Amino acid sequence: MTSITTARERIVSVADRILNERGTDRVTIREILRESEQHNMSAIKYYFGDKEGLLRAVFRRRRLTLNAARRDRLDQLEADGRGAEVRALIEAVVLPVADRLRNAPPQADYARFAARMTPRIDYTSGDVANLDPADQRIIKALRVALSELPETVVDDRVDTAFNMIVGVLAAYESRRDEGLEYGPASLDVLSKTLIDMVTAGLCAADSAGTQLVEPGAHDLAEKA
Amino acid sequence: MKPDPTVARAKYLDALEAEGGGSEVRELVAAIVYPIAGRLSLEPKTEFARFAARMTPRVDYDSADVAALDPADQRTIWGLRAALAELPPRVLANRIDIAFNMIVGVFAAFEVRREEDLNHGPALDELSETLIDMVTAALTC
Repeated sequence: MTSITTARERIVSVADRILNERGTDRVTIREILRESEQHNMSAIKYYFGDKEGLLRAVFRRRRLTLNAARRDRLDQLEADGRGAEVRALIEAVVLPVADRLRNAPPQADYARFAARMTPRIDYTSGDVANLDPADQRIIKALRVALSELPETVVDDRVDTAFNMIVGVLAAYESRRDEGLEYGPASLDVLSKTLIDMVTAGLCAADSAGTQLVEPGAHDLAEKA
Repeated sequence: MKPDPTVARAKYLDALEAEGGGSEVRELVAAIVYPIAGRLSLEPKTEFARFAARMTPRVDYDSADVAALDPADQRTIWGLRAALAELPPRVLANRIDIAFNMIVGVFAAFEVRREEDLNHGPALDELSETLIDMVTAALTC
C-alpha cells in the first residue's frame, strides 16, 4: 500500500518533471495525476488543497535543489576566501539558476515559474529562519557586507535584488522560448552582466534625502 | 480612463527638460520607474506590471533603430545611450536591455504580493526609490 507521504511526494516529483519538460501552462492536473498513477481526481485537493498548493510544493522542491547548488558554491567561495564579497554572493544566487536554464528542455519555464513564485518569499525579515539554508547564509553575509548602509535600505535592496534576478532570467527564458534573438548574446554574457549590475545596485551609496528634479510623476500619471 | 505610463513618461521627460535636466542616468531611470509606479498606485487590482513583464522581453532595446518603440521610450533609450557613451557599445546595450527587464520584473513581483496580501517587501514608494538607486548604479558601474 502506498503511504500518504509517498503518494504526495510522487505527485510533486512527477509534477516537477513534467512541468519542467512542457511548461507550467501546458500541463493539466489530469495529466499530472495520470503520470503519478493517481486515479482519484480529488488527490490534489486532499494533498495540496488546490492547484496553487501543488505549484507551491513544486516550487519548494525546486528550491531544495537550488539550495544544494548554492550551498556547494558558497562552500567553494569560502574555501577561496571570497565568502564575504557581495559579488561572490550574487554569483551564488545567479549562477545555479543559469546552470539550470542551460540544461533545461526547450519548453521549460523554470525561471518564469520562479519569477511567479519568488515574491511569496520574504527576504526582508530579520528572522531568516524560514528561508532555505543557503539563502540564509547569503542574506546574512550580504547584511554584514552592506552594514554601512541603513538596515531598511539593505533589506529593501536584497529583496529587490532577488526579484530582479529571477525577473531578468525569466525574460531570457521567454525570449529563448519564442526564438527571439534580443538582449545579451548568450546566457553566460547575461549572467555576468546581471551579476555586475546587481552587485553595483546593492553597493550603491544611500541616496535617501537626495532630491531629484521632481516634476511629480504620480501627479502626471493621474492627469494622463 | 486608465493612466498611460508612456504618456506620463513623455510629460515627465518634458518637465525635466524644461528645468534644464533630463540627460542624467538617474533622471532617465526615474522616467522609466515613476510612471509605472504611478499606474500601480492608482489601480490596486491591476495586472499591468505582470503583463509588462511578459511582453517586455519581446522588445529589442538593443536595436540601432528603436523607431518601433513608443516615442517616450525612444527618448529614454537615446538619453541613456548618450549619458553612458563612454561604455563599450555591447556593454551599454546589454545593460539597458537588462535594466528594462529588471524594472518590470520587480514591479510584477510587487503586484503579486499586493494581490495576495503579502506584507513583505518595500511599499510602492520605497520600492520605486530603491529601484532608481539600484538601476542607476547598475547602469553606471
